[in-house]
Amino acid sequence: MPDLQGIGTVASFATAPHAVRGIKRRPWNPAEIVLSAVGIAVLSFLAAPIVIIVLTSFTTTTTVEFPPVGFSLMWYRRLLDTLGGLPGTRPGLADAIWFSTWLGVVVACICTVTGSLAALALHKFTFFGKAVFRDMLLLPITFPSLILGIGLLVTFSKLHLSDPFARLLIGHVIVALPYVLLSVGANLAVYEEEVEEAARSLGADALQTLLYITLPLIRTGIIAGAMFAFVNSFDNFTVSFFLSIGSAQPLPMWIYQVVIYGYDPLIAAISVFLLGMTVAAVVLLDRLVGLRRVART
Amino acid sequence: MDRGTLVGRVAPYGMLAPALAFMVFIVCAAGFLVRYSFDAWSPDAGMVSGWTISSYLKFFETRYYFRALVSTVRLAAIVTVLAVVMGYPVAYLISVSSRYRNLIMVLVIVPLMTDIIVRAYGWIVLLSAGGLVNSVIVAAGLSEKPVKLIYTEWAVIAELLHECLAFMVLPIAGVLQKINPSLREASATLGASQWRTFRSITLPLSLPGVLAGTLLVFALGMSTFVGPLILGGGNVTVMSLIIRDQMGVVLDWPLGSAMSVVLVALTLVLLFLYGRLMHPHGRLATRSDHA
Repeated sequence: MPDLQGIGTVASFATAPHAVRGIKRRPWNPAEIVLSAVGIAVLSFLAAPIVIIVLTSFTTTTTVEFPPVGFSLMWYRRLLDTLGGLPGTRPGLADAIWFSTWLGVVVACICTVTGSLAALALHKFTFFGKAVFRDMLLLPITFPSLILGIGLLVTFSKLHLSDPFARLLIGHVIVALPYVLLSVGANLAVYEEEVEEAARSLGADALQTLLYITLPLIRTGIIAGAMFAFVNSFDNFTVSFFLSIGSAQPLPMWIYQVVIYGYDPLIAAISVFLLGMTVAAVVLLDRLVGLRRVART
Repeated sequence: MDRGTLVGRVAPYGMLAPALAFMVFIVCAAGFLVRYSFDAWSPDAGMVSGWTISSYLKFFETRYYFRALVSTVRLAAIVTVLAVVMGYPVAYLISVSSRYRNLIMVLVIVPLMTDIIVRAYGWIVLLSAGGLVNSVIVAAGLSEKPVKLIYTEWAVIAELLHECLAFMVLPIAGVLQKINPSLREASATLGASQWRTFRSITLPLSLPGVLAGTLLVFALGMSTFVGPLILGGGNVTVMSLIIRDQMGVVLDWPLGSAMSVVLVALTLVLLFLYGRLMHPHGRLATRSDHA
């Protein structure tokens, strides 16, 4: 999940009164037919690359062809074999997957803790420089990731930071942190402060209020933020491209290396696995939080 | 929580500190790029600290580099125009079709959530010699043998459009949803045709959404990297790729930094000029507020 600047506008869908309740049933006029045809064409354009990958992953051939020949799960078996490190399979794939997973988990943990703390600070207190700090924490959303990657490459060489994991960790945390801040912040903006006051007046101290009242209330925002951060790190390519060194490669970098030297259907199977993960994350988010509330950030 | 006390005054800074610590790197990144762009460089001596504009001169005097800048602006502009043409109808459908609204939204957002390498790979498969698009072209008799689509500018444009379309559709649809339906009803009551209503009421009121969308798409297009890298196949030279070459292959970091600075500065200047052109007195912005 790369940049999400536009997602904020989804908010207006979820919240704005849906004034126009749909085209009333009346005979179709030419304008509507043209409009629908264009709409369907554009939506097919959006769906095509994703649909074609799913179709390709079931092919029986060793090259990419259209229409895909036959139906088999051989490329998925090959993916499992590769993960198990069988001889003759792609080296490094299992390593890349574990590396990306581990990196994503650490990124999500760091982003969740630091982002939630920052969101709480911005919500609870009025202090000098608040607007500047807020803008600074949201800066990575608008900063081009190409320039961020190059700038960090230069910075890390100046600092002699050559640990592959640390380099990627810092880059990914920077990119993902604003989303946690927004997600938790949106949650804080709508919850009822009276409950907190009630807890305090019943004798709970600040820490108890935080642990037993505030955190459970903003739980959904924290979970959504953590998942955003994980998927964001797992999918990140541009920043990783400039920061990864040595043999420790995140999964998108590994796929890139294979794609530029020829594209066998194994990549399609891996892609479907990644697509499945994204869909699972979206569905899980929807179940846990409700997509509209996430979108409202 | 306690305000006014010493703890209450220090606490917010303490809570912000860990997050801000990471953001220090982004400031450093920008700072180092600007600083390095003024350093000197030679193949033998490498990077020499100093204050010179030789890297900027080298960039503007070398035709190859300058042409990359021109083709980057061209690519971003083409994609922005196509995104408006393709995105507006979809946004309009979202705002009028209650039955398919959610389905369309999902189709628009899914590419946004998809791994960028996966998407690029999808385009490779679609555009390759034996791919879907070429099968259609040959079957339709448009060409005897498969056309070379992959590793051309068209492939890069397709991938970039696929990446950016949501950023055009969502702002426009957001504005369209907020337009008061009684305006359209009034227009119809007064005898205007649907087309006339669209042209005189809906379209002007939705321009702020178009403005927001074009700004986003153009900015994304200027620094696009993955599309040219994977689908350009060396035939499409844009800024991101020549910057990559300088930083990773030639290791002329001052030149690479100068190119980065030029790219960001030019993007900001063009966006600023465009914004002024679209609403010189900020009229559009206020008009949408009244809508």
